[in-house]
Amino acid sequence: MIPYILRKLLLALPLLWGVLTLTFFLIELAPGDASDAFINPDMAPETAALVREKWGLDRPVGERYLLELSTMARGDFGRSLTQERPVMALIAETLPNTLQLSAVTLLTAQLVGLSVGILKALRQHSRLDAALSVASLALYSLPAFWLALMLQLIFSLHWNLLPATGMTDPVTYDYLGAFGQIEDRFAHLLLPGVGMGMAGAAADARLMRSSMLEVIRQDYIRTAWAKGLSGWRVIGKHALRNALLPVITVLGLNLPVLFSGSVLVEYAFGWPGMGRLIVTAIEQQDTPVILGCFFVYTLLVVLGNLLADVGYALVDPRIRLA
Amino acid sequence: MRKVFLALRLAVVLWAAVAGFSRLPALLAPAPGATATALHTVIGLFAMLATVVLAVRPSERLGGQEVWRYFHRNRAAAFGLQGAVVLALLAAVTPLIAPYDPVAIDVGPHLGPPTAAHWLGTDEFGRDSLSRCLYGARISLVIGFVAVGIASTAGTLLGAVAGFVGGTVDAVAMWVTDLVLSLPRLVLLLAVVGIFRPVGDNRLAVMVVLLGATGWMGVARVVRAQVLALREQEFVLAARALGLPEWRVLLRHVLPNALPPVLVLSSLAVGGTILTEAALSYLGLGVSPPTPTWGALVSEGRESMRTAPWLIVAPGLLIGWTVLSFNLVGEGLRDALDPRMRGGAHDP
Repeated sequence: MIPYILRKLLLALPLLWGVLTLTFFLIELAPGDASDAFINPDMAPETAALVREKWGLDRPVGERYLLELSTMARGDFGRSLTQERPVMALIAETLPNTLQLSAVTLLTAQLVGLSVGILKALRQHSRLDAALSVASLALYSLPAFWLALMLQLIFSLHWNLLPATGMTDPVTYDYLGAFGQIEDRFAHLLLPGVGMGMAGAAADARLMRSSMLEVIRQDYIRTAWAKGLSGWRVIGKHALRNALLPVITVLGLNLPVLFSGSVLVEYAFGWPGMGRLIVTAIEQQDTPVILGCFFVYTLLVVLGNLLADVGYALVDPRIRLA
Repeated sequence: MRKVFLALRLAVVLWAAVAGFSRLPALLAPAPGATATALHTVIGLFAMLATVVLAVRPSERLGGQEVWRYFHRNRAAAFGLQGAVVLALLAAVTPLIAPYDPVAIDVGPHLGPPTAAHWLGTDEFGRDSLSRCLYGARISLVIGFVAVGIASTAGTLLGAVAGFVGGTVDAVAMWVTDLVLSLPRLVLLLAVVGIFRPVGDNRLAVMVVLLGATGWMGVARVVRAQVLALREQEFVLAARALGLPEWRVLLRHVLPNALPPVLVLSSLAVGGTILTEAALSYLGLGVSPPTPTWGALVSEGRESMRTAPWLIVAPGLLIGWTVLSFNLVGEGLRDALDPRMRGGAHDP
């Protein structure tokens, strides 16, 4: 398995290079550059030239491209043009927040989705199945950002139960004890993390249901029942392991979708994550930050797919990674 | 259920006839507030045609072929199709039934609640929310269909050539596909839209092209896989033995057999594209204001969510309805086109 993982990581290198090159030249194609926000028409041409020179924007495209690549190759992302800070520091600040939110969302979606899916499969054609189907279809089709607003409308504005935006309380957080801080963070996570996770569970539930239905019709499941095993063992052990296979594949493939969603959710909930970092960077045409973020996103996707492969092999001993 | 939808369709047509007979020429005009372009005239012509077709010829008779029989036996799929038809009808006759100009300000109170004069209330500039939602349907559907058309065509051609030619061409094409796929689509779109936003003043056309340019990967992969399997079959060998040129073998003999999954993917993609466009509009990167798109309506309503929650409820539900309809149609098509699924229990 180790050589397989190493080979996959090696194959990711040209992919990362391709993404960086594509992004770099896309930004180059755009009219204007990062200095636009700092140069006004009244400025003396010499000053404007100085601004551009300071950021190295006056150099030819090819030179800047090679410069960016060599910075990247050294494991450094360079400095943000507009924020005057290392890109690494900006990402180090925001990436943990994004990962935290994504992890909670993913975990909720999986837990709820799988349980609902199993329940629907076991009670096929019941009223419960029908009701859950309608609910998951509706959640599946409604836009995530709109659901986010509805959650805020109901739980924050109407009932005043949970904070609507941010990661911590801007006023009281620093004065809370350790326990209070954890509680505050938890309360801020509930709507964007758990709430959006519930919405994301719909897709999982549908997949799990069809996968489970296919499995529980197999002969070996009948054998397991005939052996007199408890329902828990039959479903939880014999059926679940096999029914999980397609779910794991889709999970790995859907990581980009999860990160796409996180941009919207971060925007809607004012979450200080990478989604907000990249939206601002794109607006300001801050090339090093955009490239750094894209690098991290691609890396996360590659790692996610790898994890899905490994998880696949762990769940199904028949599969050998080579 | 079918009767309910028939009644809904008739209601829309009646509504259009009563409310807007005098406004018939408006069907051909560009949406108020938008720059007049050839695209709008095409949309208008299409809308006129669609009105006639959808109103006169109910979708149940779309063809007596086997696939359609299976499709209609699936209640969820039929529901989706009917939902999409009603929506398309609404979009087609929008200029006839919209009670107000969607971009005219001060036609009602600012942030007014739903009343008899303004069914869905009015926004912060006193614009009629119902009219804006109706025009939004038009824009969303056009974006969804045209963008998916571009994406599917591009994906099909690329996948077919890659699979048929093989070798280096195939390797490069699939590498590029993987590359674009490894970026989150929305993040990629944010970059591309953010960058090309200033290009031209017709944001609608730019949006459609960009959405199409970021949606072809799935189709390309599927078509390639199909072509790889098909090109080894004997009828292809027969076509070659007849001395047909390669391009003809590909276009006339291989490609048509690879198309059914494209149809499924495309109808599923319409919903996804409409969602993506709404998300971009929500982030403020969509078609430029004051053009009403559903995402922009939610985005605008967000500011006054506390005092005027009705402004964001309706557009969100409309997006949901559209996406749901197209997803159901896509899944129904998939089941109908895949013989293994026939006869079995249809997932609702």
